[in-house]
Amino acid sequence: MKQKRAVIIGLDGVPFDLLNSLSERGIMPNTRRVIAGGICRRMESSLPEVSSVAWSSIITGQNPAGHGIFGFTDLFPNSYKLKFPNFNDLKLRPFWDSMTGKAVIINVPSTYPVKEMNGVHISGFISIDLEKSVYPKSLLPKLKELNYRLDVDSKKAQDSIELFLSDLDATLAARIKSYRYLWDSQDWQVFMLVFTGTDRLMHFLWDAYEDSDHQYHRDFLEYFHKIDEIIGEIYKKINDNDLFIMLSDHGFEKLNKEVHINYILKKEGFLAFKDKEVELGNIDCSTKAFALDPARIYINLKGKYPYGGVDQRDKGRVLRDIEDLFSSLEIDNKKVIRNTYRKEDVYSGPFLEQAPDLVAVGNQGFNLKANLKADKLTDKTIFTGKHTKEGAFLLLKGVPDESFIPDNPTVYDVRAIFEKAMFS
Amino acid sequence: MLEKHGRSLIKTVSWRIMATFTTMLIVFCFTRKVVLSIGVGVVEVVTKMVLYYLHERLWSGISWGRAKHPLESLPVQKELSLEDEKTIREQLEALGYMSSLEKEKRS
Repeated sequence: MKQKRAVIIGLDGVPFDLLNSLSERGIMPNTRRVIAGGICRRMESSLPEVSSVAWSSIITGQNPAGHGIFGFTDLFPNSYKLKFPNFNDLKLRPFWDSMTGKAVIINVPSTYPVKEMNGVHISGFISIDLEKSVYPKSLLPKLKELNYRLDVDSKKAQDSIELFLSDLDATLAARIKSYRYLWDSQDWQVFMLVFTGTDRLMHFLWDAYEDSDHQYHRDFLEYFHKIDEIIGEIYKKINDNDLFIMLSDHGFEKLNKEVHINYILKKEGFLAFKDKEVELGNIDCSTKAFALDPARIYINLKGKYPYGGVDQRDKGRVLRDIEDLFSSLEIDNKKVIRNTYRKEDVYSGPFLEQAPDLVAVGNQGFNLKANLKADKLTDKTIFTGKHTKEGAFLLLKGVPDESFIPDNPTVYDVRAIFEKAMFS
Repeated sequence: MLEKHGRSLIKTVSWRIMATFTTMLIVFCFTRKVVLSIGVGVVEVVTKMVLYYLHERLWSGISWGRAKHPLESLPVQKELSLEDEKTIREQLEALGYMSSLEKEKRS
């Protein structure tokens, strides 16, 4: 019998409901076959529900206080200086570093810059420089020849949706050529390929998905159909005893309004600046709390921050005040914030101290933002889709024992499921 | 370099004591002259201590043949350049993952 191998396909941001709907409607017939032969569960994302945190959780099997990634941005210790965590900040090794067999890892978000590993690694969003995105470097000429592109240029969507769609297609085509080359040329035990174009498409064109009369409705469906063709191609290549996993890192839904939580904090007296210069470094010591994107609240504690104004003994009261404020917030008679989570209740691990004190999750349609300079509560931007914590998906085939899969899995469970299915 | 200067110096002295006594003993066995044996030992102890120290420092800088520490190849974390930060900000803002006032509204 051949050695058991695993194929993992990531569809960034694809919701459980959309996957099932497109499968049923014949847009994704190959996925329908996989679902019919496997186990498909609704999966819960990380907190916050952003790709950097969710994929870091998937590849390490830990929550953010275990792996150290709490968002696309963070603060340097004891300062208000913004930092952009990358793969070097991930405090745990990804699953491929604990395997004896070779792995091919393509386009997993937040794995830039690449490190030495047993196999091939091409990092995903946010990768800046192709030279630092590819291991081993000997693959660079071939990837350049295949016109490999690290990501879609999402700025194009601001100017023209046509340009954006054409860029999505070009990026996908190059990714497909590269996967085919690596599939055939490498001797691997695990092959992981993440498609991030799905997330980009849903950010800008969720309205096109929901409205069949929308001018880009067909383009939206066509993109998912192309992804499905690749799923079919890969599915045909695997052996019966191989493990096949498809998953997304978070869900998606229609975005009705952007809601600026730092604006609320300013308005209600929790956040103030020394003068007209509105930036974190210019925070006034009367500030009780501030937020980082998407909705991570930090209590401005004395001793922890340079202009900290809240005593440790008052922290609980300030948290309660913010929770009360958020729970009472309504727009058009609809509750804006679905839930708030204190860090001790949702995170555990050696990096708990680094965690935001409170994380808020928006109600349906409300996208929470932490724009310090916002001068009004809500905004409408180019984006029509937003991430959701609930409603990611996990689809598996080739798991020897169904009890390996929790009834309500989260992204934190994926690594354990994978390892049990592969090695037990 | 794995060897610090102090360790190289102590090794130089300990080896010199052992080697010089050996040299003096050999000279005495061949000549049966105590003063000559001590004289050769004194000249040798100075010249060879200097040569040994230089030789040790030279080898200390050569990595060939030395076992690699398993963590040696891990990349050293460096702060991002301003240009890198700008690129990251732009990419995050383009997807709404980082707040910006510069976003254009869709008509």
